[in-house]
Amino acid sequence: MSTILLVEDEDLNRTLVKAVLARAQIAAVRHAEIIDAGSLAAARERLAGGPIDLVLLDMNLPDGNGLTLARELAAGEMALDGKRPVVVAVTASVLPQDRAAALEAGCDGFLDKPYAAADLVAVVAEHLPG
Amino acid sequence: MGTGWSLVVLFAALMTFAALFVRSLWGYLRRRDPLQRDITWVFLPPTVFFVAAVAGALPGPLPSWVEPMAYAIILTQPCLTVRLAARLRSVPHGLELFVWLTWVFVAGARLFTGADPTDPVLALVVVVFLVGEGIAAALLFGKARRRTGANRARLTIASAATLAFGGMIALIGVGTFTEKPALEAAGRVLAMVSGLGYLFAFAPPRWLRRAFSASTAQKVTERLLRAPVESPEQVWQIYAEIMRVQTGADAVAVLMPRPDGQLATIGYSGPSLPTPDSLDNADLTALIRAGRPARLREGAPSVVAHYGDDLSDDFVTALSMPVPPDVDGAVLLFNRHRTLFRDEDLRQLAALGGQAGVLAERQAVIAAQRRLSDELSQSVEALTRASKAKSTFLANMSHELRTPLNAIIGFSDLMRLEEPDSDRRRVPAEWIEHIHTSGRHLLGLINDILDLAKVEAGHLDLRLAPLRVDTALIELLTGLSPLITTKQLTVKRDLAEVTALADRVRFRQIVENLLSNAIKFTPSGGTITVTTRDLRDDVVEVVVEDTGIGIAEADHGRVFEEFQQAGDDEGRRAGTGLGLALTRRLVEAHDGEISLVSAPGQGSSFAVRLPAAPIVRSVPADDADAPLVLLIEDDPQAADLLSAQLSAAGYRIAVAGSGESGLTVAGTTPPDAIVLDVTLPGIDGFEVIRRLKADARLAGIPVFFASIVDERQAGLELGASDYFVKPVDQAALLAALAQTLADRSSPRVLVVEDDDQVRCAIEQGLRAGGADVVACAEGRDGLELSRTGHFDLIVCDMQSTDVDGFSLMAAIAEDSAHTPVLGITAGIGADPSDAAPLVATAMAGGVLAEAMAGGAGWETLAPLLGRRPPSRKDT
Repeated sequence: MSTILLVEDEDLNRTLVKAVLARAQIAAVRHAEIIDAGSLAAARERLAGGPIDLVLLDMNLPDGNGLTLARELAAGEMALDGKRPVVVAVTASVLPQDRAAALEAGCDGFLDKPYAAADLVAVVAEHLPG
Repeated sequence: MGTGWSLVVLFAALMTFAALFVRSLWGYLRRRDPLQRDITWVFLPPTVFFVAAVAGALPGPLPSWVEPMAYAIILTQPCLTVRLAARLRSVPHGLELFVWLTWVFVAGARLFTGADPTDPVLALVVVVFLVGEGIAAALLFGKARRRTGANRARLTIASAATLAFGGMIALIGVGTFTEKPALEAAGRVLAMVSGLGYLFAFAPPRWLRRAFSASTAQKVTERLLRAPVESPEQVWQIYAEIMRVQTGADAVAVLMPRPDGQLATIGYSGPSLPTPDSLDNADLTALIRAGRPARLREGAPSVVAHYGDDLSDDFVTALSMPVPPDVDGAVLLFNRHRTLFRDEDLRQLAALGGQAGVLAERQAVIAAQRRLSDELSQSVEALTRASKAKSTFLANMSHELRTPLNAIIGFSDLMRLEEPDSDRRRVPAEWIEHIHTSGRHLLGLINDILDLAKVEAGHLDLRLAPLRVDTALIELLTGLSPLITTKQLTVKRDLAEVTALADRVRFRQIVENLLSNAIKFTPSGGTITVTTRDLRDDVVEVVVEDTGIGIAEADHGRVFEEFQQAGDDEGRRAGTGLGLALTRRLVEAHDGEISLVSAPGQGSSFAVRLPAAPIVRSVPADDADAPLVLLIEDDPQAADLLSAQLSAAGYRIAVAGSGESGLTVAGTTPPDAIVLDVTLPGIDGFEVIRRLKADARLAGIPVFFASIVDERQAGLELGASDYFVKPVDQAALLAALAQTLADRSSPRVLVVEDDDQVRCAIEQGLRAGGADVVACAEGRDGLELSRTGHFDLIVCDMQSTDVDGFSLMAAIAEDSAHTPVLGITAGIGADPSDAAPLVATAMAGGVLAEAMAGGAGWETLAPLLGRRPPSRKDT
């Protein structure tokens, strides 16, 4: 069973992601364990605390930009339990330069907000191992 | 020590002075210049004296009269020097006479004592000589100080030489008397020094003259090239000014040939003159050829015609100024006194000046080009910035709109995935809440954006009215209490009873933004303090303070800008990023200001200052129809007295403490009459009435002055109905008010409406309000009537049967530009018979206002008419 770390400070969006993934047709997605973090600090703690397969990363977080976390992961600067997780940026900043910045920071995927339920499922399914 | 060498020095001094004398005499004989003659005179006594001295030093006796005579002659030297100084500058009247009288006395005494003078006589001679030379030196030095460059140097040297000459006589006199040859020798050295000084000053060798004039020319050029020249035309003006300073002339004119050959003044520095237009070339050529200063009043008639009568200057020096490549200009130097020096030096100056002028002209052109290119690059920069700001704005908009849309699309998508149960789906109630909340957020965002655009375009239509700020705040806090309770915040209120002049809806928006920010950024259990108070100067302050996260000093300016939130781009975002920007714009639209005091971790305190509403007196409820009198008066005592008198007579009173607030009140609730003081803070009473009369809606309100200043005539000319000087005769004021209000005719209103029921309803409403109503059903008739009827207001149906309402309104508006036109239209499906409200849209003056037309009577129409109905009491 895979573990997804959802880094998102808005309750509304956390509820949405969980609800969408729980209803996914794909079993791997449906059964993935979702742990969440409302800030960069909380995300670092979770990443150190147990193996994570996929990080769904929001950009605007109370204590900084999500890309900071992506960079730290890409540079291997972070204390990890297990191997480096796949990182997907989930953001409403959708301009070409935003996308370029995310890829440059080491994100493996990019999901525009607003997204349809199917988009989210597809992105998660694509990046989950197995 | 022998005196042989000092005799040689004496001889050299003699030769120097003799040479100076011969040279100046030669100069005078050649040119007959009176100045040169006076210079010659100065050198005569020393020459004679030294001849006597040399003769005395030679072996062999001299006749006994020689020495006293030599002394008598040398004593004239200070007198002649003073005389020379008087040619160069103004010398106090009587001073010259005084030195000559002294000379007569002293020379007489010396001659009388013969070959063997007594001590006192010798002492007297020395002292008088020293004093005379001192006076002459001081006069020359005084002149030198007012000059610059070479002139200054030469006059200073002349002054020093004169002093040295005095010292020389003193030393020689004392030396002879005490029989100390050393003193006498020193005197002779000083004589030589003085002679050389005079030589440099009055007959400088050519190399020295060149050095002087080169240094002056360099200064002129340097200053001209360094001068801040804006345009080529300015160059010659500046050149004239610099020449005036450098040559010490009283006035300088620069002339250039025009296409017709006449010389025209293109630069002038000196006492102000009627602008001379042109000069005849021939006059100037003659002057230039003369090569020396000409007396202005002799000859050169056109020069005199242009300059002479206005300048009291006697002397004009005309210099040709060749300007490369092939123009011949001229420089005229005007002097009240003769100038010491020949104009050969000045000529070189003028020639160099011409070249410098051309350079400066080119420089000015280059500078102008540079300025132009700077301006261009600045505007390119501004455009780039604007374009960048636009892109940023769009990017931010996209981001902000997508965030709530994410929840709306996401949750509704989830709903669609739920199993349908016939035509219904069972979904978690929470999702519906989420969609609703996000929808509201989206709407708020869009409203903010529209409001901002409106403010930006200057289309924000504020309905200013007195607003009790404390009450409005309590209402808002009550509305927000669920949020406050959820976060367990404490709200402290310190609300003074204050009334601002504000738009109710916009004020709520301002304060709601501040309060919801405070709630958002204050952690649970924190405190929010809301304060209202009156500040001086008609200002009301609302402060919202929280114990939240605070804002760094560096971000204080940015929080009020669109999409700029605390923290950098990489930092966090919360809220829409528009709230505070909009709040600031709204506050500014109220002529208010917003400020922030905050530091990270210290909480934030936002203070909004709005103009206070003018105090409006409450009136007994049964008297609500009484005519309203607006008192514009800054002295509270005077206002109290007047309002007591007027309310006793049955009027309703509004009081405004300044002209500006008075105008605002008159604009929002037009009074029936205005009583106006003249001396007011800010704009005065006369300006107030000017603005009232200039405003078509307010021009009809009668204005009465009540002031300590008796400016009756001025007041009446500005359109006042009457003018009362304080202390105001109460009976006269009341009588004038009553008379004026009774005299007013009812406003005339034209109603064009094809629906009989609606027309009757409007007619009745207007008649009840006291208007004269003319009504018609057909649009064509309405147009006809509007042209002939002189109406104060036209009410027009937008869906007239024969003519389309919009074209009708446009036609009417074009015909009667000053008559407000009110377009009314029935709501879709509304039935006028059951008194369903009509939505009326006032299109007067491009102002869009909504009003309920159900009772389209005075409440709606009066503001458009700018007047109130005559009350029952008056009719």
